[in-house]
Amino acid sequence: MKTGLAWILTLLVAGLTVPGTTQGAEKVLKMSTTTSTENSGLLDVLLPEFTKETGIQIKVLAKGTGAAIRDGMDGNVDIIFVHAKEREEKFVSDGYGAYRLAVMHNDFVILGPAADPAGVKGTHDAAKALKKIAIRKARFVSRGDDSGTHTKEKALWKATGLPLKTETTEIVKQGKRQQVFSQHPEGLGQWYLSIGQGMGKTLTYAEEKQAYTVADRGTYLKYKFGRKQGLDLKILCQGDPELFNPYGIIPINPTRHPHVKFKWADRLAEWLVSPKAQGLIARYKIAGQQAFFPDAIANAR
Amino acid sequence: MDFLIDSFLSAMLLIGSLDPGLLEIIGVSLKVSCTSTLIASVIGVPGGFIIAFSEFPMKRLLITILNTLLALPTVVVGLFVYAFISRRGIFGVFDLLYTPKAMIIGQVILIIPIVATFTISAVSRIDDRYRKTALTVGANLFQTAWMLVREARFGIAAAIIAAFGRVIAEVGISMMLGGNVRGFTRTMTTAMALEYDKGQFVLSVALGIALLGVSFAVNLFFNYFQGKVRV
Amino acid sequence: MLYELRNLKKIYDGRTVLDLEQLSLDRGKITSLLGPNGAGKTTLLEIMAFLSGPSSGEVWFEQEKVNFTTGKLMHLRRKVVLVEQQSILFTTRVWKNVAFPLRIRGASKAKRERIVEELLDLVGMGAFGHARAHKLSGGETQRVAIARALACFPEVVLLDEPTANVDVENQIAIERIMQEINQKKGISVIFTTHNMIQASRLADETVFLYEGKVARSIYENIFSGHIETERNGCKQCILQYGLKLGVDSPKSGPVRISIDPSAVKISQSRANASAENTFKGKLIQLTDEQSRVRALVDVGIPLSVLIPKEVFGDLGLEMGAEVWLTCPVESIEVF
Repeated sequence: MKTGLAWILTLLVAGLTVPGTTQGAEKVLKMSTTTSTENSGLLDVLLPEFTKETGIQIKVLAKGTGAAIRDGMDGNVDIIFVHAKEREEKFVSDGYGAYRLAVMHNDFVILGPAADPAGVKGTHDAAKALKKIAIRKARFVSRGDDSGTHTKEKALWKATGLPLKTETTEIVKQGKRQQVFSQHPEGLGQWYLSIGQGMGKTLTYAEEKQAYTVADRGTYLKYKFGRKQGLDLKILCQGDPELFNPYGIIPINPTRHPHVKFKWADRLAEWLVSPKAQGLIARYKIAGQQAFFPDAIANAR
Repeated sequence: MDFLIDSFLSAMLLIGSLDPGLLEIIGVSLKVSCTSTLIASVIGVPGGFIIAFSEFPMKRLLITILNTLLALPTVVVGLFVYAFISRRGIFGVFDLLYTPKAMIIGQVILIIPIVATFTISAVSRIDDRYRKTALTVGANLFQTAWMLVREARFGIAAAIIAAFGRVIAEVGISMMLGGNVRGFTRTMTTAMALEYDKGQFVLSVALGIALLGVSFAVNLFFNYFQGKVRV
Repeated sequence: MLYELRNLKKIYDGRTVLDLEQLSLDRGKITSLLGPNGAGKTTLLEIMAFLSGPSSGEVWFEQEKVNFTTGKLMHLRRKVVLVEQQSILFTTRVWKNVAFPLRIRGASKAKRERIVEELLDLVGMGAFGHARAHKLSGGETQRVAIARALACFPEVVLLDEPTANVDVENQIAIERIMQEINQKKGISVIFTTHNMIQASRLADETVFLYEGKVARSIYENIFSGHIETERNGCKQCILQYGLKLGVDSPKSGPVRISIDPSAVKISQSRANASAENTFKGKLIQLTDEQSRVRALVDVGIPLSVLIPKEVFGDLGLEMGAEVWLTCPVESIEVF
């Protein structure tokens, strides 16, 4: 009885301390990425290959782009892998990131119910497609979570030329009042549904409500073909260059956060743009379709 | 430390300026939580009462099951209800998913065990002489029951407060069945989860403080009400 | 006949707490159920209040057989009200407690106010109408509980040990109320007590209860003993301290007996030496009880004897005197 208890205690203690001790024994890198990247399944192909080559294990924390970038700013992770180019560049120029490498891109698509009540099908211009949805007040689901996809969606709404509603919330940051803006078309809570959730949930939501939404192709393919009960939603608008979605990898700047494992992060970034990883990306298919397009120019910094 | 001060000041600013976005979120939270608490009470209080005062086979088992359901995780309720009201579920045609109604259904299921078990223990503690006295002075069954509910009112009020506390603070059901739709089903807790996801910790904490404030106000109200009826 | 109980049994957890062959109680009287703790008095009152049913047997109320199983007892309960030994008042004002029976009977507000005031005055609690019921003392609670019971306008009031938990002042008040409602309102009053003097002071009739059974005689002369059959076929009950009593009973082995104190004969000389069951004793206590005198005589065991006043006067007994007691076989009950 006593030995049994001791065993349990030992197991518990071991369980509790393992994450701490791995720093010494194993090489573990923390990476924040976006939910859409993780949902696409690409990381499940890439990362084991990297671990096999280098012995470096990667702990993936999937969040919205905003939270992922925030993790990087706070030094909570060693590297971030996101898709919001402008914000990424600012992240590097502000000194949080060491550098940014363009890894690949996929593209966004505008999805909707097969019935297509707003008549979006066949429209190539993404902004025009959204305008049609707004005019018909057809249900539209927005991620509303400050993610890369949401950022892209907001840019598209701006391009429609429709009057947008800006909401400001005042917060205090470092003792100073600051304003946080959020923009969205009229009709919030009626036809424009801002749900503040990840890509997967947004797709599920749009499917449930048979609503329009903007999604990245990778996640869409995975949800459409990669599951037993695939989505009924259809791609109604694609191919507009405005819908391209570049992914960048950014190791955290070790001068800002000395505790980060820059050496390994650097290794991962370099590996992702290596011909081998780029090949893996190009060959990665969801339901027989290419989901990501490699962007790397070797050794470009 | 700065972070906490910032959050606190932001919270004060949000609440002080009666930020419409915040009011909207608090409004949805209160509306949904109050409705579910009300419905759960209407079912749970008489239900608990009947269980406490009637004898039937499996009574102990039923009470044990109810006690187990006290620990019901919100995501289990969320999933269960989801399966029924999703577009492909049997109640899919009612288009309930991601509406306040769906949240209310989930929350009612979540807290009926709380209201019922608290009621059972509150009325079981009532001295049997209250029942006998009511009967002997000529009360019918309903009047006797009413008298017992009156005597157990503090326990029953505690049941309702606990239930309300559980729903206003839960996030699983609100997120899964409400969908966190801004201005429609976004509650204080789902908003907090979202602001956290967005990396807006300050807003998240500010909402947390607002939530505490609202809960405190509701409890003050209940306390005042309890004080009033303490005759 | 108000109540008629036949072969009534009440069994709790395999223990028979009440076992009454036959008991009839009259209307319009004050009846006391006299017995020690555990005699089944409270159980009997609850059955008579239709609050709990017997395990077997019949209860007839006003020539109607009471059916406890169908649960349709409200019309009966509205005629009979029980005031418990330690009454509880509802957690509200005194006034509302007394008004409750009126309200559930649909009395108008004006009527309620008038009656509540009247009843609170009757029990001497007129000044307490707005007091919180739970702040009252035991005696005050009991008086309010009686007022509440009277607000039912009952035909029968059952009181369980009405003065057991109250001070002398409240005891006098409660006894006065019991007599008043019987005499002025014609309500049948049935109360339990373990106080023999209270029973004889208040009650028109007294029923003795002992261990769930009706005892024909008063309960205080109760002894345990052992019945043996003599060679001549006579039965003798041997009590503690070796006292032997001739008895007439089919039973044998360990028994309890009671001796009716009014049937015991007392004299100053060994008048009839040949008479059975004659013992010499010493008079140790005398109590005046209205028309009778109670004498306690030590014959090895203390034996209580009731003597009519005229007889007592003729005897001219004094404390400490040596007396002879004769207990006729009929005065001894074996159970």
